Amino acid sequence: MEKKYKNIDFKKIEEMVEDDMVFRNQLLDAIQVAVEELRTAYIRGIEEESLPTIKQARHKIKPTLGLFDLEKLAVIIGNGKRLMLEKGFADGIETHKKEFLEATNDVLEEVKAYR
Amino acid sequence: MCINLVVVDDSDVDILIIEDAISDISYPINFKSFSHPEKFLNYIEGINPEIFQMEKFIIISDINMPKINGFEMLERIRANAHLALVPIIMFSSSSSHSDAFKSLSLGANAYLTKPLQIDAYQQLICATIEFWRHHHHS
Repeated sequence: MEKKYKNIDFKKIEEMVEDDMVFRNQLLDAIQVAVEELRTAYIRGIEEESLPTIKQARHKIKPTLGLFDLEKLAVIIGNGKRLMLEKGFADGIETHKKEFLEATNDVLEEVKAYR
Repeated sequence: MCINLVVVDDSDVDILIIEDAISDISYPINFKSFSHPEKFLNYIEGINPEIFQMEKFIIISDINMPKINGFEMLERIRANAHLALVPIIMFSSSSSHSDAFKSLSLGANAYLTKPLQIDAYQQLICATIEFWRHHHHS
């Protein structure tokens, strides 16, 4: 059976903010901006077939992915890295792009719904 | 003595985590953050230089930032004689040896990789501030 990955772990956010609602909203805003910026840069990298742009976008989101367990997005980005290193921007890139967009949308929707 | 902690990072997530980490520190910390290195450089180069002799400053900076990256920023700071002794800690998600080597070559006092667990991340920030609080030359 395929493993089900989390979009984001809100428990980690709650542990960190300790009922401070202002801080909680600031953190959710910051995560939202980080994912939106990732989406813009990563898709631009795919469209321009620019590995440095994608590497930079991946590098920038890395702490957010790890700190708040954005597991599904992390797995898809990891798969994309392997795909692009092995096959460039040809085979499978459109499928990867679609999966990536779905994963970023899922995170953003969950963050929005959680507020 | 109050510590002036200046963080330069274009990720708001990282800035919030650092700000939260220092909220539990018992001594006074004057926290300032910049999302854009050029704004930070304008700030630090615009300060009366005498303040660096009178107050403690610690700079924590990311590397991978748009327009001016952390390396260029580091070069600019170290080229300024008034800032020569201010501790600068490069804090990046990169574990690349070449990034660490370049940082230290350009005059950073330390290079740390951002942990991917919140507790470890915040403990590292607090330990870094504590260390440089006691190892300050200005």
